[in-house]
Amino acid sequence: MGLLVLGTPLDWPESEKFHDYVRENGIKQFLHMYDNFISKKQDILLWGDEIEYIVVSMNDNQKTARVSLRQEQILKALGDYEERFKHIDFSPIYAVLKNTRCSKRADAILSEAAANPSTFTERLVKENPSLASNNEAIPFRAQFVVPTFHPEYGRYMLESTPGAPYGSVLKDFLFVECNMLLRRKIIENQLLPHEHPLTITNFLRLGTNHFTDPETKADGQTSRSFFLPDDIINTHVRFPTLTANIRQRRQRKVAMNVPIFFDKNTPKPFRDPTVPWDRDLYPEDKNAKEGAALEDHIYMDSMGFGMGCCCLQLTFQAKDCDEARLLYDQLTPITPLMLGISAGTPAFRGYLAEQDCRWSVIAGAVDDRTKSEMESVPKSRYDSVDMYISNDPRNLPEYNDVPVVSNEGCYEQLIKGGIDEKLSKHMAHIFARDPLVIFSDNIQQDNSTSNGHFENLNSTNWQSMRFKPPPLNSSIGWRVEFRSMEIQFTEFENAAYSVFVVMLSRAILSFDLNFYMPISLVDENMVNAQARDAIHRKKFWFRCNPFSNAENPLERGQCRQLTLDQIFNGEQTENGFPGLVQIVRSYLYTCNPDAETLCSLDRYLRLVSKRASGKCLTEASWIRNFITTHPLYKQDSVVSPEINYDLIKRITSIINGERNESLFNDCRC
Amino acid sequence: MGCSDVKQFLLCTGDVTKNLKSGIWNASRSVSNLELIKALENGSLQELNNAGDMVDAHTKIFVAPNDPLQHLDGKADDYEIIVKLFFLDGKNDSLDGRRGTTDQVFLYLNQLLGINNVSTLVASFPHVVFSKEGLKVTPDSRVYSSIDEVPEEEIQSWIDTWKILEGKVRQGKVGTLGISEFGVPELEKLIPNVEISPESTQINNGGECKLPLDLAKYAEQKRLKIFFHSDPPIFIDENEITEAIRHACPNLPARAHADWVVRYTILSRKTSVIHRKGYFVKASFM
Repeated sequence: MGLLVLGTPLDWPESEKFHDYVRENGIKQFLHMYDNFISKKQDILLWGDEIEYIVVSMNDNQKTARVSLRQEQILKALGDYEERFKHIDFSPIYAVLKNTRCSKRADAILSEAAANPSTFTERLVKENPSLASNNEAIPFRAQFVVPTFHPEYGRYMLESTPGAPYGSVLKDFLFVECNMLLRRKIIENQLLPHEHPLTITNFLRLGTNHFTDPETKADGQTSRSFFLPDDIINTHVRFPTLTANIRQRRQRKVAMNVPIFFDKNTPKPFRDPTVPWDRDLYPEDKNAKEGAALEDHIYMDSMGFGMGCCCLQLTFQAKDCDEARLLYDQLTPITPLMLGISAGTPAFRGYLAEQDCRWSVIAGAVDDRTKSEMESVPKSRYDSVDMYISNDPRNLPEYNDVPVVSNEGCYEQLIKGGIDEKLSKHMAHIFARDPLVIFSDNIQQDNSTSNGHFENLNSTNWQSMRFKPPPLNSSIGWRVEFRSMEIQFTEFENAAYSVFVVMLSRAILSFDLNFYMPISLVDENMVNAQARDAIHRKKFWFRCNPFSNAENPLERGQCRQLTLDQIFNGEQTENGFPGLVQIVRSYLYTCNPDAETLCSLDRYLRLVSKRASGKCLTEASWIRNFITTHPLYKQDSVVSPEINYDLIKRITSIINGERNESLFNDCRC
Repeated sequence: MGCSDVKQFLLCTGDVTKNLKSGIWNASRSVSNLELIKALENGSLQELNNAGDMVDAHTKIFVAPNDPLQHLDGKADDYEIIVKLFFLDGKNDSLDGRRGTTDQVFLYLNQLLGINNVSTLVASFPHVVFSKEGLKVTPDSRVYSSIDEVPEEEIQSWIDTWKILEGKVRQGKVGTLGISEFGVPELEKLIPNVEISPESTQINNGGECKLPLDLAKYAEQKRLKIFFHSDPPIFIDENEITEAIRHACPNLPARAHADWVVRYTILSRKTSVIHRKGYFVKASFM
């Protein structure tokens, strides 16, 4: 989501004067943070998730689904809710949920809890005094506090987080799913009866006719998009400013071209009839016919197509800076793998695509590179990690094999400030980008007490992993953020994927696992992860030997290509790779959790395993299947309003508990 | 290597989490001791020369190389230390034997791992299995197919051994006690006759993620926790231990028999990272 500072943003030409100033002071702020916090050891695992939702507005009479633009009112209501219940101890709710097997009863508990947690917890404690908290102050943990809600780029989007971190023991992981379920219930209570919060990556008909409620027109001056009205952009000044500045910096509209999925009746070549080729409202309108819109592709021309997507992100705290850097590195090769098994985006702007993920679209949506920079700067500021940053001896130089653009001045400043070479290069790389939004009233900052300039750049480099130094004035330590996963329909799945990644991070630390491989191969994996049906059709580079080898600690890792099934479920041979799921399972069993905890967490491992093997469909495959087998589908790659409506209706039922063999098998109880 | 005058061996696998040829990936199979077996096979165990107080002239200790004595960094409270003690001495279950074993175990934990107290100690008694279906009874494995088959003396030895373990709790060396493979009938023989009730029972449910109903009900009444494990009924048999010792001591004259096994797991409470996990195996000649 990024910073939401109040104030007046400079327009692009004005702000250019301050780019170096922001960079220089951002580095000073980083140096200050580093010096103060390098010795900070937070010997406790704390972590949290971020979930994004699209609020859909359904009209059952007309059988239409649109995105609801009431974000401001909804967020106000959610903000009031948070304020009203910020002193309530939520733990009795989770205690009661824990002992509930029946999903109908759990649903009833969550509904009551969401409606009024104050009276509900009072009643629970009265009925069972042992549920009362003995604590003076409410502990700052997810199961005790009210969840929090945030705005996002799209005016039809919401974001929720647990309100406080999840804790460090396996039992704490049991709260994740319930917490996510509670958050959805709370949101639902603030919506109108025909509105629903869906955790889907994108609204499939975003940018088509009549896709918003209320009706809007795509003629806005900020994005100048053919398809997306400016009204879908969050009204907080940061968002339209970002949109306009990206467009201005690159001197043309953003252009994302996703290959269309060719079905039997799809016109070949495909020249999109819904593109208003001859519109002449803005100078950028001619971008499309001058080559920005490719034949045989779905053309998208605005930040909203990317940043208007939802995803699942995790942040966790490491015990110190070195561990954070190590986790950043070790999880980097995992990011494409989790993207592949969480794939959920098979269509854009009303057309089925020849890919299953959102990643490349967001990369294009905020790509601020000028035409000449396309040659000299390899990637968009939203894309996969470019270099490893740990000083671990296993981080061999040959693994950092892609060109990394960095700002020389910043690099020198960092080295002089005593930062080691690798971290300096990383920060200089982050700071090679221009600050996209500068607020006039926020230019002067005290570098010893503020980190606004640092955050300005760190938060507008959107990479598959993010390295996050400790914030000021807080006990929070060094953190890493895992950012590649696509959001799933249900809390069961989102909890499963989140807990899997956190347990994998524990397994990496427990077993000294080594997943290092050349960045160029991680990049290749990132491309392949987005392919249509990557599970069956693609292979992924993977380190031959991820296990620490006492005889040869600096063994140069060879890589080979495996399927996602082999990577997650292992090669079924004597000395073959056991598989990430088996590794996590061994970690889990070794931790000796009680039977209930073990069984609950094992459901998550079974889901991950089955998604990787194809026994359970990825959501992208399921959605694609739903569309292509829909009676009204014309085999022309078009996702019509009726099909979209039925799809959303179906997804809503699944969220509400409808069983689905192809998505979950028997994993979701 | 003069193995001929040695009567007893102690094999220490070292940390199986960092030596990954140890087969830790078998830790979750439904029934497996491969984690131990592979650690012994691949461990390149070497004789420990400065054994000090730990031994007499009749015992040799073998340890994994590159597994130095490491004191826990940070406070002991930050770690959860779980020890499972498998009494395998089917033929030697005298009270003195059990006491000697328990004392030795704590001596080795202290001398080899720097551990002075343990969060949970789980006891595993020979011949007891929870899941009575599909039992294979071989001449070697005297496994009882019902509580009625268990001789009084053996039930008494459970109770007596438990009292020895209670002593360790009172000495502050153990936080809580657990029992392995005890179902309702066995627990009903144990619990009324001991002072410190087990906090948990762990069963091998064949990889099934379902709690057996009777046990679940009983456990709720008695406030017992239930855990699952994947250890086989006989943790390490004669062939396996003889093989393992021969790796370290190739000229072993006779066959060996495992007296007891200890599995220790040290887990950080704050980060849920596994600090160490390994095994001690005590064996003697037939």
